[in-house]
Amino acid sequence: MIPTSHALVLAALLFALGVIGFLRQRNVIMLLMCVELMLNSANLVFLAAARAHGKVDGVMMPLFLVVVAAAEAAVGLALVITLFRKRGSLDIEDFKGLRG
Amino acid sequence: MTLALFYLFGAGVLAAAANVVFRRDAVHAAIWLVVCFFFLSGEYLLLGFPFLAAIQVLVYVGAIMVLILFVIMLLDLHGLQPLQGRARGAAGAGMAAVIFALAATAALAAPAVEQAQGGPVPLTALVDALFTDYLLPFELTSVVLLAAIIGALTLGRSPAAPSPVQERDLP
Repeated sequence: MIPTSHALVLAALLFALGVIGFLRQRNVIMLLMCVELMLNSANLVFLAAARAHGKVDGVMMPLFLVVVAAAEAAVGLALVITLFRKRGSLDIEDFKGLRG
Repeated sequence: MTLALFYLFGAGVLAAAANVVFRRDAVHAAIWLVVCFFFLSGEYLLLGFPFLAAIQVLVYVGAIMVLILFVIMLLDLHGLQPLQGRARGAAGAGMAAVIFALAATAALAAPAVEQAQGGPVPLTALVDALFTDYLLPFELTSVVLLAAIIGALTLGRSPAAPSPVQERDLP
């Protein structure tokens, strides 16, 4: 029997790694991948909770999250391609047009 | 046995995720992310959710990661160096440490509800709930996907290409 708290700690570690990557990387695609890591840690939390309570509601969220992640990847990558076409670079440091 | 496998897969997840975070080459990072998703689906299997494990491999590895790899190779981005200033890396590590400390405290302090009524959820219960209580969100996901398709098409269209509407208007 897997202790729920251990699964939650694993998810917390995974989320922390995703945060480190998001702040550390400069490539926009790498940032997208780090967001996927964080989304997956949320999935793990939901599943651990669903198992601990034996309820079906915790399994629904990962299902919907997968759909949202797929939509996010599609739109995000289309944005990446558009950005690359317009600026010729994917370095996050190059996109400072909104800075005041 | 299950517990040992859980820790083994957990170590695999973390090692693969660390490789994603600290690699320079985007292609390498994407491959490590695939490895990470495989280990995660193993975790879902061990937790008693084989359907979610299958979804994880099919959708994440089969669709999302292939799309990401495709774009990386299409744009040919091999050598972007990460981490310019040391301050940014330190800020990231500090923020991650705070988040982890909070989440781990919450996880360990949570009341133990398990073992009594806990256990894996059967797939039939999942499907029943999907088409009764969760019918509206389930239908709304199709709208989300439609919006994503239209958005991706609009964004990804080449500005030089003639729009299909104009072509149709030609005599």
